[in-house]
Amino acid sequence: MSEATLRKGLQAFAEQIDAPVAAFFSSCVHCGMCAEACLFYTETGDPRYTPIHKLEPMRRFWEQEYTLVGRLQKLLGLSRPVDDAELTEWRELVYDSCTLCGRCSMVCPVGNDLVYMIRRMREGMAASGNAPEGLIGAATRAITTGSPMGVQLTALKAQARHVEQDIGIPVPFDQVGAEYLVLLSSMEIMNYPEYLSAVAKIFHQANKSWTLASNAFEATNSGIQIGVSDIARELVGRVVQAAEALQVKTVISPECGHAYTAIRWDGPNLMGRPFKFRVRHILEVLDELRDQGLLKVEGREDARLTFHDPCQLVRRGGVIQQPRNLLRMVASHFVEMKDAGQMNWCCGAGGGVSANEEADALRLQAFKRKKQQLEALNVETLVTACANCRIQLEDGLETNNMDIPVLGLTEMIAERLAEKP
Amino acid sequence: MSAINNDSAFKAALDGLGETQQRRVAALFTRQLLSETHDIRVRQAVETLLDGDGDADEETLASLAHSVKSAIIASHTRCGAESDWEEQQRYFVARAAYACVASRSQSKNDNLAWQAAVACRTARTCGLIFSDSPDASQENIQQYQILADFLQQA
Repeated sequence: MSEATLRKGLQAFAEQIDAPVAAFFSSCVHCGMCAEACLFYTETGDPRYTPIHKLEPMRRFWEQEYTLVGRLQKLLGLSRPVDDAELTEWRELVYDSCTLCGRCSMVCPVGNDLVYMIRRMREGMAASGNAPEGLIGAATRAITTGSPMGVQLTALKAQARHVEQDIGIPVPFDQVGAEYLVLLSSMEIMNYPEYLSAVAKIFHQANKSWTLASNAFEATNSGIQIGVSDIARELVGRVVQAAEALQVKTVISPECGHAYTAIRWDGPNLMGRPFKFRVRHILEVLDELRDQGLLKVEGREDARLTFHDPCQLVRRGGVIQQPRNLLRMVASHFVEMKDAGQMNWCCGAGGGVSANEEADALRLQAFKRKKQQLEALNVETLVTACANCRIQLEDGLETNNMDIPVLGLTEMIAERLAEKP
Repeated sequence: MSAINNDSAFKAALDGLGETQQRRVAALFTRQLLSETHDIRVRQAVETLLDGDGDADEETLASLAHSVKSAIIASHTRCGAESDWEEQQRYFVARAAYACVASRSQSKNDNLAWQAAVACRTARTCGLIFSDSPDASQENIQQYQILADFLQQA
């Protein structure tokens, strides 16, 4: 990233304030409903975590630059300009205490998309040098190595060999004409290689062709998290180039929430053109296979279990019914959390929060909401479909002495695949 | 008994073991990698099972599982952090140790020993990645032998 300065940050604010942002700021009625939708506010009671308040420097910048009253106030010294100290102070509010979960956007009575605005504010924060170190490191590694965690292709190939050895099914690379291009998150390569095993087993059973791409295996997009569109565009572009070169029909976003938002919803806009392939989350693909009778399972999980909806899937993507269809195939005692689906509470670690060590204490405080939800259900197993949620859930459960195993849904399905005839 | 020289035979043999025997074998697999971790919680879990022939009471197992779970959480790689495959090896050794002591309800799979075997193999792969070795892990071959020896002694 180029050298960050206040001037660049303010310039980024100016570039980011488009008609929707201006309309959103103009129409805010200061009702405070967004506060009650934000788990950082509900779990701390700290009014600074009210979502609209997190945008205050950008709001004032908008007012001073683009409204008559604001310009006059600035001219008369009645409204102070946004400065570096203020942006530094706001870093905690824009990065540590916002997971981009979008719950606030759902409840705003005038329809303000607060996440849209937070993401635009992050552009100014990053350009002014006020992004957290953890996210800067991840974004830099993503650009230089292709992975925010610096996972090299050789490491992926070693893990793939290991998976092949364990399950006796090939893990294909760079297969031109395969139906599916499977993306992975570095978290899956490092912490949960069983996801790759699960995908290989499922496609083997369904007789579907798939491939990984040597030059674009990573799904996560640090550009989205830190708020640098140029990085986001570069990372999406690598996937698009690989998918088109391999002539795949569908690109599969893995069990990662924001990766799905990045490639499916932001991707075509970042690239400035529609894709020549479909993009689907792995749960959408599994549900399609189920619907086509290609996903055959046997036996059921007897434990009482629930599903944690990753925010980016349910609120940005509408992937609500698919995991439930899949769970009903393999679970006898599936129960729902209060507010499940579209209004589910975030795990507390999305949107780059988990990559940001400065936010550790706060994200575990935010987990209290999930703890309450789980305690109310008294479940024996927790299932989710995002590696980042999974780590946070494991961490939060451990911190709170709650002994509940956390599983990935894809892995759970693969564990129960019927033997291929 | 047929020779154990592939995973099908290996899994079938593991499936034939009772829970106590599975824990014992899982601990034998995990012992192979104990030198790769300094975490006392992990070592204690494996050594307790080996000292007691895999036969530990439920309370002991629950206590060991609790502390090994902490070791797992402490050693996983956080999202966005720079990869450290040596540390990651410790994470998978901890996961193998957890498979040794986890209760059935905590376990992802009915076969505790298979879970431990897979985690040990993954740990070995992480070690190979860390040392930049182009070799494939031979941990499975060692595990076949460990199981064959165990069955012979049983």
